[in-house]
Amino acid sequence: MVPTRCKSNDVKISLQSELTVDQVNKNVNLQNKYGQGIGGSYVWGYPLSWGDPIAERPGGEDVRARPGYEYSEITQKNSRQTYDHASEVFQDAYSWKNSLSVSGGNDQTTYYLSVANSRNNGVVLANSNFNRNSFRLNVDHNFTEKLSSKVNANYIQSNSDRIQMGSNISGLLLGTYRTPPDFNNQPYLVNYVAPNGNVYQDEQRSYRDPAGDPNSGPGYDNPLWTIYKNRNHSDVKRIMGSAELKYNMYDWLNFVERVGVDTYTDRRYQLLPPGNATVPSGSLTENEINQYQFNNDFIIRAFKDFSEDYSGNILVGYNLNHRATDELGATSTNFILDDAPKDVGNAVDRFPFQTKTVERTSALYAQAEFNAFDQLYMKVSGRSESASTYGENSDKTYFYPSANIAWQFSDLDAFQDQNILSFGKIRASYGKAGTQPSPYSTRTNYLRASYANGWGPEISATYYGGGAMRSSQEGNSSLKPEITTEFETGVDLRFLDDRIGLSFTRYWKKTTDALLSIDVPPSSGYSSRLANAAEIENRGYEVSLDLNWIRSRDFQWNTHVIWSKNDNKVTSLAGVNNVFLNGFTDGSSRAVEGYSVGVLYGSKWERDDSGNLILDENGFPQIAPAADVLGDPTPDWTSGIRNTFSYKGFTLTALLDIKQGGDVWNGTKGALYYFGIHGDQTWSTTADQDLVNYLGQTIPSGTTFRGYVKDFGGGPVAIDETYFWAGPGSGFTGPTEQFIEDGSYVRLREVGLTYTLQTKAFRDFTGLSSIRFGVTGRNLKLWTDYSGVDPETNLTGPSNGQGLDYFNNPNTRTWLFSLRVNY
Amino acid sequence: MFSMACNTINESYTDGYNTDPNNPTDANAEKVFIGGESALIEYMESEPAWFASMWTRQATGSDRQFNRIHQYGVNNEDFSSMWFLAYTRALTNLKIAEEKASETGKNNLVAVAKINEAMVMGTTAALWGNVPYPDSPHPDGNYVYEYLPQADVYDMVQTKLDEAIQALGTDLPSGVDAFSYAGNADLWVKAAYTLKARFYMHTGNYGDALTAAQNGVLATDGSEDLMIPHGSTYQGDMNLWYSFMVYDRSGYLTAEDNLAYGMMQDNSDNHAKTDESGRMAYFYNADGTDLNTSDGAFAIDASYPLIRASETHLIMAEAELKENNDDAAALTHLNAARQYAENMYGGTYDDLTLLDFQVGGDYENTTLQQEIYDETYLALMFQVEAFDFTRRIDWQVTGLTPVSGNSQFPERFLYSQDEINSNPNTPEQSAADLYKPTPANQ
Repeated sequence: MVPTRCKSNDVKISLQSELTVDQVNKNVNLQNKYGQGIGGSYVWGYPLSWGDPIAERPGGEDVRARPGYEYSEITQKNSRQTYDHASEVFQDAYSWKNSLSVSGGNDQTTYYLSVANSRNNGVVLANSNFNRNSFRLNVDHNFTEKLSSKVNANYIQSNSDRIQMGSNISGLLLGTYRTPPDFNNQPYLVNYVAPNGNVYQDEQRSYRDPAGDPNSGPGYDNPLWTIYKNRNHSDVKRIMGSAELKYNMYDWLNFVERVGVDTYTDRRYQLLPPGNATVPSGSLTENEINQYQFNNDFIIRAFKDFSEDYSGNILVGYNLNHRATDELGATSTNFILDDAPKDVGNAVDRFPFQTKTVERTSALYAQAEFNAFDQLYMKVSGRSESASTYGENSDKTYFYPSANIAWQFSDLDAFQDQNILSFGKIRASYGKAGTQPSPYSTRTNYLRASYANGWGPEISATYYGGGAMRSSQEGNSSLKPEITTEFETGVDLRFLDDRIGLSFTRYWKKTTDALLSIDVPPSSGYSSRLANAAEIENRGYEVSLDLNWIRSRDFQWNTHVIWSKNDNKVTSLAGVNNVFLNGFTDGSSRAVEGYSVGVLYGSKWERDDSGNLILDENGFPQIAPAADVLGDPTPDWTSGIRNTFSYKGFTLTALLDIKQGGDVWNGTKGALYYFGIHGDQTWSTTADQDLVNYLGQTIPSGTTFRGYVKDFGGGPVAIDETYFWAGPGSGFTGPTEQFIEDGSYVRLREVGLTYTLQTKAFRDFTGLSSIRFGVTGRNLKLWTDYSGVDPETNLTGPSNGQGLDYFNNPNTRTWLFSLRVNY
Repeated sequence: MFSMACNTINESYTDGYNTDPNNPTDANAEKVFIGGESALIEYMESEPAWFASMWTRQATGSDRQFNRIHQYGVNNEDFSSMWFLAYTRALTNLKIAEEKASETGKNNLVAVAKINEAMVMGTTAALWGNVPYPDSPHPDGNYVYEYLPQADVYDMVQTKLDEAIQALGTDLPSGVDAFSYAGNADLWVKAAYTLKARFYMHTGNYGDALTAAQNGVLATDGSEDLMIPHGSTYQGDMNLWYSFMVYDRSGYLTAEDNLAYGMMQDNSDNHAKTDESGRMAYFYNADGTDLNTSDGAFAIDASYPLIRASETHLIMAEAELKENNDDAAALTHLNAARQYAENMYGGTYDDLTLLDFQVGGDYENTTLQQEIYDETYLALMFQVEAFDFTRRIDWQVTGLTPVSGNSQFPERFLYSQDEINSNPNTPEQSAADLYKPTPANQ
């Protein structure tokens, strides 16, 4: 994107515009055959969709208890109308991005200036956006032959509105997907008329409170309330700048001093207005996060040409790094004036909070490079690093060596008189690096006492005279860095005048003293400690093949294939059974000795020693008390295949991505099964014999029920609705094991077409140097057996907890139109 | 030499930046004691009590995970949070408070902390059976504790209570007690005696229970009850049942399938001396399908009981029968418990006589013992102790059966998954172990 700077008075101007359209690529599968209710009957306001068959209703208007109030209780459900809740909160989203850059300069000074602006909208109906304005200036200046400088300044202002996602009752998709198919989420606000005639303005109406009665909470926030009323705004102002002074004392010796600063403030505003599901009295959090980072490097570098064939250089440097965060904010609940503009002072209950952290590292480093015959390259380096976060009882400074060697053997004379191998290189590298512990983990703290139980209710000792508690995380005075050692070797070959390229890489990576928060038995008085606890190994291959099928002047066809495989294993875990990484208490991602990092972990079926289900007295399987490893989200292998065709100014490219293996926990399906709302749950079966259901009730022969017949080993039983809301058939009531699925996929990741106009006639006519038009489609097609939304989505984002699908946002398909003008 | 020089240069920049500016590394005895008591609130008032109320069929798990728990479909993970509260939060902070208070000679604070500790550990032993009972809050690198026999834990709890009763002289300073006693030493001694009686009943020592109960919480106007006060701040001091049912998980806990409401209805319908309408209205909604979150036991700021005087009287009633075969004394205490109900909830609870239980009497279809059992079941409503009680009398409450689809009652809580993950001494459990009584009930 940054054009090459030129050493003349030429000014280059480049203007680029992009329009993007995002649309949901795959929706969750919901049923629309059975209505709100339970036991096969319609029940007004009921949380579940185990009601009557919608098609068997008479049709027409519903009968209301109080005809004077149009949202009063339905006493007779007649309507056959259904609503598509899987797609109703999404839209096609349009985003724009524009940028302008100017660059130029002369022998003394070069500059690059750019301004950019983007307006991004999410696929949710409203209040889902990200806007960014940025300004950047780079100036390089030579004061004298020997003294030069580089100065960069970058200012970014961004703001965003986000919709609450994930597992909470104000999360968008909980309310959306759980709404019965026969309930209309419109309108989400009503003027509630009480039986005594009192009117309450703008009350939230939801499927569990269909009248909008303020005395009965909404259950989940109506998705439209979540979109239009709950707010989540962030305003970020960021400045990054660096300045470098370089002094070339001699041809062979120079000094560089470089300082850099990166600082931002993030001002946040999160509002749940009164009447929301999470905090009925209303909640507002306002906070400001300040982050500051300072970096200083001083580098001395010396060069030496030993002869025409041998040369080398050495470098010695010293790095200082200072990182500080400072957050201050308050949460207020229970607003005094509901209608007043919201600020944290307008509330009965106010909870201020603040956090500060400072971390420092310093490092002395040195590096030596050596080059022989322009074909053998060697580099060795070492870094001696200290950090402020190490424990009092551990060493304060650690040494990290690394080395590289590469030999471009195709430059040997022996390869000069042939035209099969055009390029050949073998390479190997070794390196060691450290990761610091999080700050302030070396001592045990006392905290303001506040206790929760996992369901929400919480007691704060502040209200009981002000109490303190010892932190449940024990300080560890022996904390030291986690060390990763990596060895990599590979070969790069090109044949037939570079028509065929082949590359192979094999790597081994071992992490020792991996930092993990490990469980200690709660009976000891602590429940966890951050420790250098684990040893993790990664080994893998990467193979790439590059084929230039056709390479004529006007037409080129290139195919590029990458295939990779990584094996990952926790080889030691300091005596604990497993370590929680992410997710839920049941349905989590953990580190378990002998398995990949991040295996899926949770409850399973109770089985005997030979693996048979242990059945209850009615012939149904049961949940086992102890949790276990259930699956591995790490793929067996991944691959990408790209084909690129160029004809004159046109370029067409297509990328296919393949992921083989890798499990996903379909927690969304597990939850929807409970509600009777998943698309699978439209079964209808007529019993051909007397059958028992999960609750031990008999379904007489000849009865038609919503469900199916199954034999778990104790004879046929009826899987009817009780199996899902009382029995072990759903994610809330049964083992997580049953919702682990294979997340393999093949995906048409990208198809792009660009056309560049830069013919001489065009340039002469317009005075421009080029124009490029482009159309790109991303994530256009997905082939997968995974029954949820896109298996690529993840509850906890890009973390070490992968393969967790719990009401995640669907993935999107994107069309991108771009125009670039160079002057 | 070179490496030493490197270290010195590096470390001069990083040294001294690892002191947490946000939190201290120590706190005084009084504050940690309040912290410990507050943890006891979360432990005694929330999850274990919800489980107890479902498994004794006083409340109903009606939605999602609570549906499963109601149907006894539990696993180890379900018990992690409460186990953590009992040990890491309540026991640990109480022990730290005891340690710090005893260093500074604050023996009254030590004593009250011990009473709280005994309540936590007696309840924990009752729910899980054999459990660890570390005597220090400082593991010093050895995190793995033995599981002690349940009987030993009960003995240790009795000793704690004796020590506390011995030592407790004057009141705590003002502001150093989270509970309704506000540091009153006399009341705390009474609470200690009722706890002694409670745990003696668990182990079948009726004589000792009777002796202890004489000095326990007895005032039938409720003035000696040990209560957790509540306010109206969410995640602050709000009643935890209200928070759960109204703020956090509406619909999870109801009374759709409960025994107690119908039992009280029957008492009112069938017995002229009894009108339970006050107690029914205090705990349940008008048709007995939900709990009263508006103006009764589960209102936003309703106090929650840790000890009620009626419990002490009913312990004495049961013990007089079982230890002394003294029907008259037993009846006196049953009537005192009924008086307590009338004072607290309204309605009518006229004194019963032994004649009432004879042929032709109003209570001819039941026995004095059964009436004491049924009244205890109601007197302990929505406390963990209701589950401890029903288990120790083998579920002999009139009309009490396992929930639909089950033929047995749960007899214990399962061990915490977190404890299993890290303490190899934790006994392994299968799904069937849920139905195996703890040693005291075997």
